[in-house]
Amino acid sequence: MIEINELTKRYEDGVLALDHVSYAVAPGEIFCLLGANGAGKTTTINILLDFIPPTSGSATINEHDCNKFPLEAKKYVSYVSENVQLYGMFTARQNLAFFAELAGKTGLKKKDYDDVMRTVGLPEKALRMRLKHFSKGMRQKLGIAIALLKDPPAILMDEPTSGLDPTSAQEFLAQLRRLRERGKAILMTTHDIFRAKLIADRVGIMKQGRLVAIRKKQDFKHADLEEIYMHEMQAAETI
Amino acid sequence: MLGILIKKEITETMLDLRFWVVTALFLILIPLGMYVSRKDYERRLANYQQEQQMYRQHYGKDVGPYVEAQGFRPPSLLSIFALGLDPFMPDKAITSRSGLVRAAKEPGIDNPESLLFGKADYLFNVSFIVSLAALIFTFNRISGEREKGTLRLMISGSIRRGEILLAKIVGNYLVLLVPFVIAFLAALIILNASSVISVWSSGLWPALLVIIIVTLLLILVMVSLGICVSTLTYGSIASIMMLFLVWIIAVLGIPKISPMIAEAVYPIESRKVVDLAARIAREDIEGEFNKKKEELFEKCCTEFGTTWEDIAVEPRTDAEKQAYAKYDREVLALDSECQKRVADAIRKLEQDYRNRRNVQASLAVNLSRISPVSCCTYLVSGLCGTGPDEPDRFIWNAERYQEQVKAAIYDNWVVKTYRMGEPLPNIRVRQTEGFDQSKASVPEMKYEYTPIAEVLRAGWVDILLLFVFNILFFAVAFWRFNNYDVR
Repeated sequence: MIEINELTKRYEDGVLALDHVSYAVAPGEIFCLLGANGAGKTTTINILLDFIPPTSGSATINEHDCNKFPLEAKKYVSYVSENVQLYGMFTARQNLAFFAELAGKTGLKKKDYDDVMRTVGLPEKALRMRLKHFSKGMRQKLGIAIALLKDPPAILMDEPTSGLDPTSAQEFLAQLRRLRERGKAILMTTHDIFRAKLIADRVGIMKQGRLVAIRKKQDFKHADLEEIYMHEMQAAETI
Repeated sequence: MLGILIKKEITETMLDLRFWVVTALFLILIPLGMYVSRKDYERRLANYQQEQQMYRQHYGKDVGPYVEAQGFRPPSLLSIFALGLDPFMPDKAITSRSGLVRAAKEPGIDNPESLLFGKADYLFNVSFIVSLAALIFTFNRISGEREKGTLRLMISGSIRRGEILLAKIVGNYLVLLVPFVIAFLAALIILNASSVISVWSSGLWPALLVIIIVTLLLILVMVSLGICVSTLTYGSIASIMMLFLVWIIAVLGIPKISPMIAEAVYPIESRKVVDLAARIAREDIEGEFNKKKEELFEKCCTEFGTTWEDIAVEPRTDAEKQAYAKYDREVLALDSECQKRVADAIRKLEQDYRNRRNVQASLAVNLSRISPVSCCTYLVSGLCGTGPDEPDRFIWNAERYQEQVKAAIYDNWVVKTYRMGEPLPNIRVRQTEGFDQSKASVPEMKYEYTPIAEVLRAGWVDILLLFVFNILFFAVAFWRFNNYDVR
């Protein structure tokens, strides 16, 4: 569903943000990208969403090149950012309706909104609340709710658990599992090795723009993922 | 898709505090400005009517050969919308037997403070308040959304950036029109409440329609400019600083500096110098012809055996009568030639001055057209009869009035100058046949303001420029936004 092929990005100031990175995320799979700040995780997502063009290589979503046919590619993807920011003066329902309508989901009924709010663990009465009164956790959940309403086959998440309290983070992971069960291909960048271990089917470890390792669930299910991560980072240093 | 985006822009803007502040501002300033301007017009109209009536009562029958008839300029009805140059325009035209008409403005200003600070008429409100409101509405529509992070989320969807931009322009434009239209309608109701004004009169509504169209175009330009500013910056603070810079340049800077640049680049002498030059030219020509008349008079006297020093005011002897008769016939040609040369000389001076002034004015106008506010000002003030072309229009009216008075009064008197020099010239005056002084009266000046069609013919470039500004700002915003870093 999501394919990254020899993707390279060099910024105008000469910084190499991505260096021939390749991997794919299949439907019903959660792929977590791990790495320090500046490793190139967010750059990958920026290229997938056509916020920036790649220097070379390609990124496709559902076989549509994200750089050449961005509008086509983005029909099949939802995006949840590190800090979901919506329209503060709008109610939750207005925000949901706006982004759902943009994705072509028109004519949604109250029941649809109530269902999605329940699914992400938000009270139905929150639909009438203005977003400026929402906590960060509530906004993250609403970000997921938007992704659910859009119902695309792929979801990109950029540090979605950052700043969430433990309970909200647990609820968020439960939500991700449900999405996986529904066959969504999920690419998630994170610093949170603990939660990556809990949720990921595969992890990719990035360092200075390079994908230094990809580990499957069976590799880290009974091992310490943090240790694997540190080991791969040190190994990359010696190359 | 566009409809959804426009709906969101409208909802978002209407929930913003800025919308309510602007609405309150429009609802107070535009109707209030209209009320004050209406009262001012009613006062000016009453003054005009009173002055004209008094003049006609006291001097209306004064149709002597040397009468200086006064034609009064009525205030333009549309000056309620844009007072423009009206306070600086002459109030009346004064004719003269010599063929020269002069403009007069009564010294003193009724309300100097209002001129010092400018009047808050409709044009002021549109140029300053509405244009600023349009920029305030829009300056951070892109940069602000980027700052909040909502732009990233929106663009992560399958939406063309051009659609987002267009929706922002259309949405904000429509929202801004709501308080403007309400305030404008309130202003029209106030205007129509006057006993001397009807909004539906043929003299008002066609121009009013054009004024509304021009205003709507200007608002669209300012909205596009605001969105354009927003795509040039990446944060609200930078946007607001750029907004004020752009507003100051467009509204205060360019229109005020352009005439000064034109004066520096193409200096011309003042009106007083030209008037003095005209006076000197007239005196020189008249002096030259006075000598010729003296020579003619002397020649006539010599021919019939009398000396000119002996001639009294009234001829007594046959020789004197014959000398007078001959002089009487031949002096007409000299008088006519003198008048022609004076008129030609003054016309040439006037035309030269007007040509040079037109070059300077064109330079100033064309320079200031860089600002859309200037384009709107030229058009609206032109339609209101208070624009930069109106002084020339006054001269045209005054010259027409001079011709009218000449036909009605001056041509009915034959004036002959027999003897020049000290102590006093000897002048004979008689009426033409059929002229009944008791039945004649001073004609009234029928002042005609520039017709709408003529204003539009002269101002098409301003309308075109307003369209061009719209396209230009949208194109720049489109180009910038397509390359805008939303991260």
